[in-house]
Amino acid sequence: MTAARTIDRVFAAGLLLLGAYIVRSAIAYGYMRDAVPGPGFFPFWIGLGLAALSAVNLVRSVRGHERLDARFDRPTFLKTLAITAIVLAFVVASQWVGMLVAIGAAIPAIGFVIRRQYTTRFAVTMAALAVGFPLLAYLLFGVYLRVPLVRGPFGF
Amino acid sequence: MESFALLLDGIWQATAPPLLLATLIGVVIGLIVGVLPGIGPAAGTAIMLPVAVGFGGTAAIAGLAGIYYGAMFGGAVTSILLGIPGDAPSVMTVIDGHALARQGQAGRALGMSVYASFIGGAIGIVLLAALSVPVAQAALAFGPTEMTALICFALSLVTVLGGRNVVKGFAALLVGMWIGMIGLDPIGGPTRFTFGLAELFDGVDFTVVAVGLYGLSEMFVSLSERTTGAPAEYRFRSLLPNLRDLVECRSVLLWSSLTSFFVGVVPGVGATASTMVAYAAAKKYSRNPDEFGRGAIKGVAAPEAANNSASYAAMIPLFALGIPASGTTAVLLGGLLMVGLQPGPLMFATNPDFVWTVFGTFWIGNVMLVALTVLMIPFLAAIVFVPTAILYPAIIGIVTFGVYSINYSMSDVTIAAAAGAIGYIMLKLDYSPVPLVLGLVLGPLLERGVRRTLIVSNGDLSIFVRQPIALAFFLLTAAALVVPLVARRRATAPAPRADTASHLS
Repeated sequence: MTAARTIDRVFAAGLLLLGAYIVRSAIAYGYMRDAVPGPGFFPFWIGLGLAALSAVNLVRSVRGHERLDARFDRPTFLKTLAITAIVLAFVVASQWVGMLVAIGAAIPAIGFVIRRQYTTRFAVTMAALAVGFPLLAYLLFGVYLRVPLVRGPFGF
Repeated sequence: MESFALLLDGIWQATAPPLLLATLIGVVIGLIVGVLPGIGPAAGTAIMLPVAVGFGGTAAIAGLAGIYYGAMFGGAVTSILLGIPGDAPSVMTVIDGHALARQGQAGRALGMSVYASFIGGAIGIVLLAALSVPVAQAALAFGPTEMTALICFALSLVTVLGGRNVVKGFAALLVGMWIGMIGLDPIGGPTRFTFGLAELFDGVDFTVVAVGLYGLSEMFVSLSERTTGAPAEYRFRSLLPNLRDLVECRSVLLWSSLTSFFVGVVPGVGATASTMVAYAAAKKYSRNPDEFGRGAIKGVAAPEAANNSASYAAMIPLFALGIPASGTTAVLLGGLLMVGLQPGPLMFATNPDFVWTVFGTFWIGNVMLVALTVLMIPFLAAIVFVPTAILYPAIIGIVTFGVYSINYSMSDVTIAAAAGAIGYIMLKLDYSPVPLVLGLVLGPLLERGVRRTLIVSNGDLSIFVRQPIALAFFLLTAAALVVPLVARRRATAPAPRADTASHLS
């Protein structure tokens, strides 16, 4: 069984559980109130539909009726996870060092995740981006659009 | 005629320096976005939405729309030079455009793409001006019941938009509708699905999810795709269209622009389908159909005129009915809401200056694009060769700052990153992101419509079929759901056995 097929089944099962959770929550919110639809009316049908469609997808996948052309190649999958992790690390780090310093570190990190080959020229390019991008971001967002950027202990 | 007078006035208003600047920025970014493989107009508008909204009012929408039709122009560049479609509507251009490039006629193909895009855009704008008011006036007859039925119809078009797997398309639609329900109940109820997080009380911003789903996930997917082919050689002078080609393609350009407008105006069908229809028609009625696929200039003219005409057609359901016809117009809808405008039938009555000035910026933008595309083609082509390891970190940087700028919230950046990773998995598993975004935008409107209608009728469901317009839309919805299923069943039905066939004959 290919990785894509396994992930397809896990994803369909996850959506099936999500549908069940939505239905359960909808009942708790109240399906009807005084003979008119309550806060749970719409979520109930959405959850039910999602659970039913996901069950169909799961059965189709298990029976082998699902044709998936795409492949989950390991390097791209890991790069996706790594880039997502770097963005999340940027979110956390911004609270401590400020957004500009955090993005200055995140950009070369993402660059090296994508490239994964060290050359002096690439390192210099990344260093230039690490300095240049925060400067441009400060001018565009901080000065021009007057966005209150999260600042760090250095005052920027 | 009144519409054209209003359009002329709108064009005049659109020449105001702030609007010219916003349009220029939009079309330049759109051209660049269109050139980037994997990042189409939807991603471009989504990424730039927070920045463009900072322009404010008309300038914001002029900038966003500029990205949309600029990307339509730019999408042809990589299609022709590299054989890589910058976005889905550019796929048909690859077939003959890249074949011409391999024959050393890249300039001829690029020139035709610019000219065809301009003609398609110009015809699209004229039709947009002529038809948007009648459509909007007809839409004024719509009450909550009719709008509910119309939204049901738009959502049913997931059968077209939902990709190859319709079941997965509808599952994605329902996930989008569920995300749209997060936060306070719109009719005075409790908070729903917030998991106790105060950040979710106001709901999940549409833009945040769209940026992740379109911008980030498509970048992730493209990390695994290798760029193939070498850039074709061309001379600057050769970018100007060949006069003989223009004469030869005149009927194809006119026909493709007209038909594609009416295909593109239907919510859910969009520019991609219109290019296929235009290409098929051009081939069918050509005197040399065998040339198609091997470098027919009409094979470039038809889809390029079509996708630009359809991109303006998609504005009719957006502005007149408040219904996004595609992923890109869904982002534009978000932009309109963010600048405090509710698109719909009343918009033409309450904000005519805004509407016609925006339409005027479309015209100005179309003219700008002809000059810019010719001048910028060498630069645009060079962007394709910027390594992803340099380009993508910069784009992700813009995305994170842009998303933060919407609500000044780092939680939004977290949601966008999660949407990007989940969107990557969805794309790989054939779950189209378009239904999810449509569900997120239209789901809350549908819920409000259904619940308000049922409150008025004291829970009597028959109110939905008592109104003739609503009934018509529900019948169309049923047809949109059933017809593709029947067509698919017929297509997959086993062919009659030879002996049976001969016996019957």
